[in-house]
Amino acid sequence: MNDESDFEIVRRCESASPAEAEAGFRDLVQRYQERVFNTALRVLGNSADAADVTQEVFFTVYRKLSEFQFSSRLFTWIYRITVNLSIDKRRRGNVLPPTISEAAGGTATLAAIPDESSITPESWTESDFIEGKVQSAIQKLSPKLRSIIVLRYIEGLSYEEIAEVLECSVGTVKSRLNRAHSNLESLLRPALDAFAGRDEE
Amino acid sequence: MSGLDPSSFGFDSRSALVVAYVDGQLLPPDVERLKPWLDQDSAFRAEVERSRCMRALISTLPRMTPPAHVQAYTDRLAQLVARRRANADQPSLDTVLGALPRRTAPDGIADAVLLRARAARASRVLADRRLTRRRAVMGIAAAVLATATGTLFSTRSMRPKSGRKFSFEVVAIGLTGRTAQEFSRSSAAVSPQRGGGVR
Repeated sequence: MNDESDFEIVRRCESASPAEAEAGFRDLVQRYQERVFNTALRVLGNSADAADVTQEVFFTVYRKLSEFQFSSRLFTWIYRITVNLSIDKRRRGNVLPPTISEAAGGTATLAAIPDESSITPESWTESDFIEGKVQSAIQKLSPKLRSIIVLRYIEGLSYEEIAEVLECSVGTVKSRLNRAHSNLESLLRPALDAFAGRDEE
Repeated sequence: MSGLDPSSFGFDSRSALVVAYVDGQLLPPDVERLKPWLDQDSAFRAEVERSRCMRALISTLPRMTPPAHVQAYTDRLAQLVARRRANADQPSLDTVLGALPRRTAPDGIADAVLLRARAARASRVLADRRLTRRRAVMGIAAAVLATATGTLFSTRSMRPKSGRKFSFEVVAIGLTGRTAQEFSRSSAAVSPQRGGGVR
């Protein structure tokens, strides 16, 4: 993450020149749109709601950017807005059923995924099956643990950055990540055993 | 080799130590201290392997591109940023909110809401009309009663008929205080050809 250029982007967004302000905002969107969308997608589980949240995030950025004082880094601030809006949306309960990645052309819901007893090492060759299974397991975590997993393993943030996003201590991040690992391991145990067995072969 | 003590690495549990190790969060000296355990403790090695597999599984989730309408929306926001600078004042919240996608109710629901509103309005209008009609009827009734009363007191042609114990004339005589003879005389004077009177 390049903090200096983030500072430059914010400065341009707040420029008195309309053209420069517009270009700055476009750069900001360009830089963070994909990250925001993917974070929301993995927290919410479907792309329609993730798109809604992405729009809400940039609307919030538009409204609040003038108040942003760099007390935290820009990207952690944007991630924080994303995680909070995603959790709020999920809490409100108007979230669509999660879908398998549209990238694979899949439209099936997670309910269509077979149960764990039917998993065989061969079945792991199906990428959409794996995605669905992992996404399903992530969705079963609590919002806090889900956010930790997404920020750490999908967005690749460090513990310190996650602590900044979630406004908690690094120790809390470690303990939550440990709990998330334990929960995910129990949810994905047959799959992990099959996966490890296949690797050994 | 005694049992692995996670607290000696600054962790309160073995699983937390495994997660930190797999995540690359341990300092190099701690990684070196942990290597003998990885070589000799098969259970610990299995835990590390499971944790690695899980990371690998999560990383299989593909990164997606936002839909086109999100890009269109952020384009509009960027234009609003420019307009705000140009006008030196912020556009109203309603203007900005107009850029947000709206989830409109299906036609059936919208129609139902409209019909309900119309029904409520029609009900109010009918109630007003009923009240107006009732007032009109009462007004007419009052007017008729007043006219009838006035006619009764002003008439000179009414005479009591034989056999009737109760007549308008009797009531009029009682109310006006005239005697039957006086009433009878005045009636005869007005219409002598009809004759008759109180016998």
